[in-house]
Amino acid sequence: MGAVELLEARGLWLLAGLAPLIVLYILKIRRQRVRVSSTWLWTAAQRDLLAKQPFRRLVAELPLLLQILALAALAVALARPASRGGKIAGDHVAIVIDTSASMGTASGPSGATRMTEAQRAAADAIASLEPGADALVIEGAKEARVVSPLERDLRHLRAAVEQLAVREVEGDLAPAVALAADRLRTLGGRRRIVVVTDGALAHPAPLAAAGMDVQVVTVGEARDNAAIVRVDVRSGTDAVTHRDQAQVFAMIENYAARPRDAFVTLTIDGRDEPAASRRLLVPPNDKAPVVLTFEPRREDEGLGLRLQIAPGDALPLDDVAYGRVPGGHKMPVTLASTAARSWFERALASDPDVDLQTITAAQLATVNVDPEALVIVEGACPPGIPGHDVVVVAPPPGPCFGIDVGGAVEQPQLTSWEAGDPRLRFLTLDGVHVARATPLLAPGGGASLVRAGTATLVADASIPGRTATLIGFDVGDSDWPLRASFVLFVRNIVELAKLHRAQGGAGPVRTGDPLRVAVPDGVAEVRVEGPGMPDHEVSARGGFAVVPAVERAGVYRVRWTAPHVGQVALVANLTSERESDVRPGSVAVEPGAAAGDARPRRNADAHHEWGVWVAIAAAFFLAFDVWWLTRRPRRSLVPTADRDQPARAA
Amino acid sequence: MTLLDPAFARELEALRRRLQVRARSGAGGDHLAKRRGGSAEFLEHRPYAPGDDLRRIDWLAFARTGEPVFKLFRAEEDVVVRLVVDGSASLETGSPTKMLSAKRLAASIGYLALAESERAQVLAVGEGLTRVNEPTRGRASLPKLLRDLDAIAPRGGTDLARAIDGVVQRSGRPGMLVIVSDFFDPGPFDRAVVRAAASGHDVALVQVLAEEDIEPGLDGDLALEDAETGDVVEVTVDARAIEAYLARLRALCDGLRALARRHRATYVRTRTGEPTLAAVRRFVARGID
Repeated sequence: MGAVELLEARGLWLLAGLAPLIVLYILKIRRQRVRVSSTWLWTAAQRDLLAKQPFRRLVAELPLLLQILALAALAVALARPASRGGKIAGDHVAIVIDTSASMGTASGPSGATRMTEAQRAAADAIASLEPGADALVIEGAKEARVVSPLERDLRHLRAAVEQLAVREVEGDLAPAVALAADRLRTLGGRRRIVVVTDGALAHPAPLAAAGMDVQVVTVGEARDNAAIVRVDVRSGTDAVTHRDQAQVFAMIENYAARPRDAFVTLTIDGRDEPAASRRLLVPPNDKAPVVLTFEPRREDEGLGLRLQIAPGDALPLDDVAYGRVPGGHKMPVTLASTAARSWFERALASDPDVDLQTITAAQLATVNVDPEALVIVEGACPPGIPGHDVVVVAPPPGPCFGIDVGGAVEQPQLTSWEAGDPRLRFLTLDGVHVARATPLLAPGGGASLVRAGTATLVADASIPGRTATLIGFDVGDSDWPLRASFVLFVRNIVELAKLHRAQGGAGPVRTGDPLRVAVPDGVAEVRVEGPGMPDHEVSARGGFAVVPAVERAGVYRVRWTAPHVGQVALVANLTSERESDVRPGSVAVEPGAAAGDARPRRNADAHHEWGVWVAIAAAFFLAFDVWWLTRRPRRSLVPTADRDQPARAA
Repeated sequence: MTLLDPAFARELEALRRRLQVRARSGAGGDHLAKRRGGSAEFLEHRPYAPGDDLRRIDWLAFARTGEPVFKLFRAEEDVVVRLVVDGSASLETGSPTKMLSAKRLAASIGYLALAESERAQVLAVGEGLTRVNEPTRGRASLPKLLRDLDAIAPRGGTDLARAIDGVVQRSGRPGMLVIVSDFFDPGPFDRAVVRAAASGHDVALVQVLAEEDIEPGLDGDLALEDAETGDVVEVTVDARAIEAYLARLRALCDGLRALARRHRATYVRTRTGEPTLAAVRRFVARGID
C-alpha cells in the first residue's frame, strides 16, 4: 500500500476546534470545595502519585484526551485520507502513464518530478494486482507506445515503468487509452484501464474506452510556472542604422497567482555571451510579449538561437525555446513569367524588402533559384518548381499541384473569399471583376480561397512543408491589379514566405511532430542531426525529406551532398500553453467508458479511502468518552484494614 | 458538654495512682523524682568519693566492711504537668471536633495530676505560644484548669516547633510536657521535642485524629481547603489518591512513634470517636501506640 494522502486537506480546519475544546476544559473545572484539617498530607500524596505514575495526569484528563482524539479523527476523516495502491480489481489491467512534458515538473524540494510520482503510483498499481492478473504498460505522450505487453511477471512490469522518461512533447492520452482498450478488447474476464497523469494535457478530450473501467490516478501538486509559449524570429531593419536586424518575438505566460520577474536571454549557438537580454515582469495569470533584437553577422545566418527565461521554475522544459538566425531582411522572390510586363513584377519591384529575380518558366530548371525563395510562376505549371513557397498564376488546364485546372469561363463573379487566410488578410475583393478564368477543382473543396459561386478561382495547394497558391486567372484579365487589394495580396504572400524562410522552410515545428524538410529536386537522402538524435540518414523523395517525430526541442540540421551540397537548420519547440499550465487539472472520462469507478476528479483517484474507518474510530472515542463520563461514581477503594491501620495501631 | 462530668471523674480516680512522671521538678512533693536527692526513701549505695557529704556516709556499713560507702536517697519533688494543647484551626474539624477530644484528654490528664497534688498548667499553642496560664495545684484548682481549657478557641495555623521551644524556655524547671495535637504540621517539630526531652522534660505526645482524617470519605474532583491557612489544593480523589494519603498519614504516625521510642517519651494516638477513658488508660500506662 502506498503512502496515505489527504484528498480534502481543508477538512483539517476542524482541528481548529481543539483550541476552544481545551479552553472549555480549562473553564469548566468547577471542583467541589471541601474543608479538611490540613492539605499538607494531600499535597504530599499528590507528589507521591506523580512521582510513581507520571501518566496519572493524563489518566485524570482522560475525557479531554478522548475528545481531542475524537475531534482529530473527525478532522482526518473529513480530510478524506486515502492510500494509493489498493487492490485493483481486474483480470487484465492496462496501465497508461502520461509522459508528456508537464510530467517533468518538479514535485517537491527533493527534486523528484511528477514522473517519479507517476512511476511510484504505477508501481503501487502493479503491486496491487490480483493474483493471476496480467497487465500491460502503455506510454501516453503525443503518440501512444506499448512499453510492456501483457505480462504477469511483476518485475518486468516494474522494469518497464522505471525505464519511462519525460518527453518534451504535448500530451494526448486519448490514443493511449484507445490503444489500451484495443489491446484489452479481445480478452475475457474483467478489464480495467488505469491512467496515471498530472492532468496537464494539450488535448484534454474525454477518455473513451467503451465497456471498460477507466481509473484515473492524478499525480503532482499545484506549482507556479512561467513558460515561453510562442517564439517567432524575423529579419528586419534597424530604424536608426538601417542595418539588417534579427528580431525575436516571444510570448511569456505566467501560470501563477503572483507576478513573475524574469530575465529573457537570447544566445546564439556556439557563443557564450548573450546576443540580447531583457528583464520582464509578467502579471499573474497573464502573458507578456517581449522583443529581442540583435544585428547578426553574415556568418551567423542559419545558426541556432536559444531563448531562455531565468531564473528557472518548476518545469524547466518550457523555459527554453529555439529559433534560427534569419537571413537578410530582403526576401528572395523569383518571378517566372512570359508576360512582357507582369503585374506581379510591378508590385514586387516596388517593395524595397524584395530581392526580385525575373526569369521565364522554361528557365526554372536551369537557373539557380534560392531554395528559400518565393517562386511565382505565371501561365505555366512546370513540375519540380524550385524554391520554397510557390504561387502559380493562370495555370494551363490540367493537373497542377494536385488540383485540376478546368476550362475557361467568362465573367465569373467573385462571391466569397477566406478572409482568415494569411494570404487574404486585410483586403477585400468587393468590386473586383474578372473577365476570364479557369476554375480550379480542388479535391474536397476545402482548399478554396476565392470563390465565384461554386467555382474556385484561387485555391490553396499547399503540401506539408511547402505553401502553394494557385490563382485560376491571369490578373491581367481583371481589374484586380488596379485595386489596393492586389498590392496587399502580394505583400501578404511575401510576408508569409518570409515567415517560412525564418522558420527554415518547415513551418513552425512542434516537438512530437515529424520534420518535413524541403530539399532540392534530385536529393535522394539527407543526414539529420539534432538534440538527442545522433547523425543518421533519412531518405528524401519528391523534394522532401521526412524526419520521424522529434521528441526534444532544439535546432536540427539537415544536410545533403548530392546532387549538390546543401543544408538547412530547422527548429522544434514545445511552446504549449496547456502543457505549461501545471496547475491541478482534471481528466474527463466519457460516461460510456466509465463503469462505476472511472472518476476523473482527483478526489476520487485514490484506490482506497480510509475516511469511514477514521470516522468509526472517532465515534468509538466519543462513545468511550460518554461511558467514562456517565459511569457509576467510584467508591473509596481503600481496604478497611488499611484505613483502620493508623487508628488500629493506637 | 462539660469536659469532665462526675461519672467520668470517678473513673479517672481509679487511674490517678498509676500516673508515672519521669521528670524532676525541684520542689518537694509527693511524687518520687527520678533524680537522686535527699528524701527519706533510700535508693542505693555507692563508693565514697572525695567531696561527698560526710553526713551521708553509712557508718554501719563502714563498720562492717571497712569501706566508706555513700547512701543515696530518692528525692521527693512535686511535678509540673504542662498541658500543651494545640489550638490551631485544624482541630476544629471532625465530629465531635478534635478540639473537644483534645480538651477532654487534657482535662483528664490535668485531673490526674491535680489529684496527685501535682501542679498542672495549661498552655495553648498555635503558631507559637498563644496563651499561658498559671500552674494550679490541688483538686480545688480543677475548675480553673477546666476554665483555662475552655478558653482555648481554635484558630490560626500550627508551628509546634516554635510552641514547644517557647514552653521549654519558659519552664523554670522541667516537668511533664504533654503535647496534645493532631500534629498536622509540616514544620520540623521533632527537633523541638528532642530539645524538650534533653532539657529533662518527660514528654508525652498525644495525637488526636478525626474519623475523616483516617477514613477520608472523599471522591472525585475536589478543591480541598486547608482549615488553618485557607489554601486550596485541587485533588482528584480516587482509590490511588486515598492510598497515597493514607501512606503519608502512616508515615507521620510512624515518625511520631519512632520519636517517642528514641527519647523514652509517651505516644498516644486517639480518634475523636474513641472513648476518652481508653486513651487515658494508654496514657497512664506510658506506652507507645
